[in-house]
Amino acid sequence: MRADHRARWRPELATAPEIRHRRRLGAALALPAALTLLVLVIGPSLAVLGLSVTDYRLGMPGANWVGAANYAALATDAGLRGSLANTFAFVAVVAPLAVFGGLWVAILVAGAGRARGLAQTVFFLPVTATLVAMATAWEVLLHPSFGMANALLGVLGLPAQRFLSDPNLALWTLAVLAVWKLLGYNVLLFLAGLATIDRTLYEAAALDGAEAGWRRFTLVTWPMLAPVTLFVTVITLIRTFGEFELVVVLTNGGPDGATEMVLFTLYQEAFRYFDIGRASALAAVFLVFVMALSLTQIWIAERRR
Amino acid sequence: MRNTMLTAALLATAVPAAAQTEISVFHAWPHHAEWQQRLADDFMAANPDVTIRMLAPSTDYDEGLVSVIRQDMAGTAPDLFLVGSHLLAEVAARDLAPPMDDLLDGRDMDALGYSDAALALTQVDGVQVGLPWTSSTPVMFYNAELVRQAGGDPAAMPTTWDEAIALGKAIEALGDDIEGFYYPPGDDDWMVQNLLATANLAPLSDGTIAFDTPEGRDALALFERFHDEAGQEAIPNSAARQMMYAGKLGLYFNSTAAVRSFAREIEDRFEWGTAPMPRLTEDGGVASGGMAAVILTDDPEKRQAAMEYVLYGTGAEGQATIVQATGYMPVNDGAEALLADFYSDNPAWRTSATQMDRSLPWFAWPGQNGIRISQEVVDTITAVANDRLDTAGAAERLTSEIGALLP
Repeated sequence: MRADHRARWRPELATAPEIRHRRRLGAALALPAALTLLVLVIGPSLAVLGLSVTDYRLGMPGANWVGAANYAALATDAGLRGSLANTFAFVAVVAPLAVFGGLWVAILVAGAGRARGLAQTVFFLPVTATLVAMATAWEVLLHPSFGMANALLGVLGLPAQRFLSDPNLALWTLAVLAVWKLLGYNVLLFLAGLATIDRTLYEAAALDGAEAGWRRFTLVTWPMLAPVTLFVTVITLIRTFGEFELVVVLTNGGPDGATEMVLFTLYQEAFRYFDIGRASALAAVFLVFVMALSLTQIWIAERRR
Repeated sequence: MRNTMLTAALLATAVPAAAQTEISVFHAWPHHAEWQQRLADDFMAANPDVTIRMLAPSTDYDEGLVSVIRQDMAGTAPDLFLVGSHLLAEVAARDLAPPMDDLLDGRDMDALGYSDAALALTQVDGVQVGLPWTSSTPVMFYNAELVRQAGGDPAAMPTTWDEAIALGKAIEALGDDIEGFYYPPGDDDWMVQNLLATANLAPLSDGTIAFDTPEGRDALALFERFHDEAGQEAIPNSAARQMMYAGKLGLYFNSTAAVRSFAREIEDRFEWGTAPMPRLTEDGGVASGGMAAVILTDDPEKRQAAMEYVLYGTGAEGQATIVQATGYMPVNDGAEALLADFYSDNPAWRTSATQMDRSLPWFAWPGQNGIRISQEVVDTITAVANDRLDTAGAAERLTSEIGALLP
């Protein structure tokens, strides 16, 4: 029976030295991961917080304490404010489209029968494609004079557009591309979620009269997908808040700052203008957003349990 | 045992008789890698005791500077750095490069073909930080066939902006799919510096920001006139370039460094050429820019070897190689003689060199916000292109923003 006792740990039966031993073992096992976290995540984050209250410039010998000036600049500087506003507008448009679009496409694909494999591949392709390479293709498609997008508009009798160079349009062009990029990934996650739903639930729902369509969706599919939806939403939000590639590759923040978003601005401030202090303040704000999102996810997930 | 002996034999042949000095070189623009390497190969053929090791180029000048600053902090900076002219002050502010005094000592630079004006380009506060590796001025590229169709004469291209705008308008009228005129807002403020230069103005002189003067505003107003009068579309530079290559754009303005790309992309599909930049005022000039060769290493032996390479690259022979490979104009007086035949066969390459006597020196904003100011200029001019601002509003925004960013 000794073996059985070992296999199942029962704290109320443990002696004091046993508990101590176990705690030491636990700490030793957690140590490598904790150290790595400390060195690679927590340490640098603290350094960023420290730099955010200075006027340090990359490569210069010293720095001065400036207090909250860099944070105040986030609220007052037109460029930084514009960048934050663009980011929120971008997230507000892209995240719902990518999440609900992903869900909708996943349900269609799941019911596609034989075409399912093909449909799945088609929607997942943008995820596997390198954006930098795809951007060249997009540039050609969206070319203001001989792009296919404008040719299509011409056929429909609509005026040609400058998709990437019109300040009123550029951010929304990037939003469409972001949805295109995110959709396939979300579809895949939702498909996985759909596969785990117990068939008998649908049978039970059918007995209750919810055989198909909207009622079946609201009664079975949607509630059962809730954990996946939560995960997809948080991931999508974090990825859209952190959009960087599209801006760098297609617009470089232009025209006139119309597509500047937080991570791109952060990069510009730090590595183009060398203003590490201001970039650090922006990074701290970004960190708080992402942390808040993750904590919300954990909180909701815990509550459901 | 046999293997060991074989290895020893191989090692013996690999180790050269004379001591080798290796110089690492870091430059910007991947599309420059080919001619940079050719320059290094030519040099190594003549100097077998020096190895030039080319590092992977940075995508642009800004990225290059960031890399070097980081590498300097880690103690792994390259020995020789080719830095964008507008960033030279940033290099000096960080003491990345020791002054060149030890290397210039005892050399008659004038006799080697370096004019005082050329040397002055790479001085910061009177200290010689580097030597000019390339230099360029902008030129007017034209599609000769479209110019003729619109009633112009490629042999007598416009010399004033009024004439150039009128010609652009005439070309624009040739057809729906034809654009007449494109003057890029630029990736940095160099193209705007050039608008000012055509009225013989520097962006900042004696503490006065040019946009705060009537003359400066007139020059800035040109950009609005290009859109309103010559029919310029607010499209990205890359899109305009593609139209030019496709034969759908009449007049295009940019650095002479693009000449080689034009020759390669257009080949002989249609006739094209370059002409000097139009002027706004009688004394109108052109802005210049380019890259400087800066020796970063502290090691005396490496410094000497790097200097030999810099003197080769900026010398007559090296410059002749660079000019033919790119379209840049020579920074060394001795190159003109070597290029005589080439220039007479390829007149499009020559235009920039003919503008040398009216070119303004390289310009950089003082203080630590130069790059930020440059971006502000690009953003403002883009807003003008998109009708979000008129010239008066742009001049006001630039004056106040730049004023706040200057030291």
